[in-house]
Amino acid sequence: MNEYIGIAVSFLLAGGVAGAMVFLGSTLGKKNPTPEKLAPFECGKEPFAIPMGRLAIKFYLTAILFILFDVELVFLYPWAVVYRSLGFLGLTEMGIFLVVLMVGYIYAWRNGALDWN
Amino acid sequence: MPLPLVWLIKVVLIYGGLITVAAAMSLAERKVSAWIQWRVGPNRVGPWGLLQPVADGVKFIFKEELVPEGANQTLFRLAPILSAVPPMLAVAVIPFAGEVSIGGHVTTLSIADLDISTLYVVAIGGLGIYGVILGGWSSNSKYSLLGGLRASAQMVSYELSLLLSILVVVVLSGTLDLRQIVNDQAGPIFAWNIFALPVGPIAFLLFVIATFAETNRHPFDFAECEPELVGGFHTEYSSMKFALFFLGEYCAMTVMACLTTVFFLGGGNIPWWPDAPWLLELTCFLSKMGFFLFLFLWVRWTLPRFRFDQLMALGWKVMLPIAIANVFVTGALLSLGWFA
Amino acid sequence: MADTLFYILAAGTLACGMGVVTARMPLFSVLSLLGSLFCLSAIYLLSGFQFLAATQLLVYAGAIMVLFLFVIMLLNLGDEAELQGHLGFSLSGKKGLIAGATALSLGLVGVVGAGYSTPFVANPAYERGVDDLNALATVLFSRYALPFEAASLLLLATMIGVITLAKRQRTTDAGAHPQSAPPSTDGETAA
Repeated sequence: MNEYIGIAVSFLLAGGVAGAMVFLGSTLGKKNPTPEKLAPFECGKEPFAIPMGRLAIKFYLTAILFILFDVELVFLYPWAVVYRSLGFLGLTEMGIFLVVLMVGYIYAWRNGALDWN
Repeated sequence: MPLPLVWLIKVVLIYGGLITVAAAMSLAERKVSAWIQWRVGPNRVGPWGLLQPVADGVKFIFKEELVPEGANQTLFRLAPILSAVPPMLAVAVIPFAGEVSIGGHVTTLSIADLDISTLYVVAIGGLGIYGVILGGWSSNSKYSLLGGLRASAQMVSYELSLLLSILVVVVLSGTLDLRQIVNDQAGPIFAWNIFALPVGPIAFLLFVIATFAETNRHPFDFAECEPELVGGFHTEYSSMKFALFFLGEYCAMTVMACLTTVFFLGGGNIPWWPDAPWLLELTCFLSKMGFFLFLFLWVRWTLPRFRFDQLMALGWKVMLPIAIANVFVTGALLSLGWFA
Repeated sequence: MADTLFYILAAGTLACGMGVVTARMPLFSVLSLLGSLFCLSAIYLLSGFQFLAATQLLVYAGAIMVLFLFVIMLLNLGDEAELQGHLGFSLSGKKGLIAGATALSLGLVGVVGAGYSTPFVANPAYERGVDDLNALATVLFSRYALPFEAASLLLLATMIGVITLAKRQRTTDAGAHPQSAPPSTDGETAA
């Protein structure tokens, strides 16, 4: 448990350093804003679109596939740790688990969920 | 010497070292690119340009801070902090060397030795994605937004391969403790996980490729793909907040280089010399880490950039199936007594 | 020490939870939820469940919240005028009602619970130096092997469901031009 005190101290230190850097930058820097400076970057043209459109579905699909595989990994990590004591039974269990998941993976591939176009 | 003081010394040493490495990387980035392109690079501030990072740091503080019109003030300032803190936190569990003696206390050269340090590193390191998404979203600029979104899609895609290639090491060592993983690789050079044939080299390769994608480095630097997206998610950032994004990137690269060393190259172990003094172990660790940091720069000036759909195809259609198969083969070989 | 830390973290979890309900911008709701998950993870840690804490961060903070962010951007919730405002929390209308009811019931639970309060106890296995991961994994892959395999079926069903929904969306609005796409409920249903 004591080890986590080190983590907490690191958290305070890292957060403090990063916060101080942002604070110093915004207080010590000079302030001379003009409308041109504050306009979002647009290669010298007038900014013509506010970027608030809806996103393409592919980002969302990527995120949810990531979650599903992430959950799978959460099962795999404890399995890997105790694998030596589980032996062949552990291998079979994980084999079945992975085969079922691979069915989903192949389904995703066949339906173009892994394509980016 | 009281125990809290020993801890404080370790914290200061390790974080001081990290900031120094990050600063050195900001110089090395320019020096190495200059060297590869037959140029000189920064050479005015200090001998051989060595004081350039200090000059940059001071300059960044006094630069004008711009918050673009229509940007969300709070999130715009929060994003660089969110991108710099996670990699700095992840360094806390890296086992740089074995037991050292500070003021009469025998202790280990890492801020915290957790039982689950592997999971801690990946869980905390994965949070760096928020800085990128929020930085891109809060800037009110389409380049930033697209850069942030692309970077986050890329980071989640390659995190899977990263986690799966680490899993091979976990199966081989049977522990999530980074220090035990290092101790497991002591002895001859063949004890290193990269030489655990046939799965070790594959896992190593997958891991290194995934670290490049996770840190948004070339050839996968779509977060700041200049020809298309200007500066990507940090297009609108200036002054110290811009510097913080870079601090975060260099810290993340350092963490990844450390992890490659720990997982596959035996950490601070010197081959055939298991009881080496800690200073030599530390030197050994840092030189392995330094090699991987150099690799980041070397690759940047050697390979052309991918296209985004190629990147996603590589992650999902090539690396993911290979990584899953690799884990299963590792398990099968282990139960057949291959690694005995 | 552990008691004090627990109360601080519990207060943090609740405060962030209130933030989720009262935030004006959906994005701040997500960030508040992130803070809440973080505090919860620290409570797990305090109770000696290291693996649970790490999993909480890895899956919820690292994956599910990213999806939430994407969904919020996908559906473009939130007013553009509100976007320019500072960190804002409001307590009006339904939001206030929900937040007030939650706060009231939590307060009641707290007051009633204080009568039966017991000191905060950490995971006994942790105190004995047995880490929870080994214990969990051993049970999971022997006694609970069947539920574990069933989990893979659940993941498979989710994957197929998501892809089916996304495919329908893709055929209706062709995906490539998000600006012109009509609002569709598919994304919401799948989320």
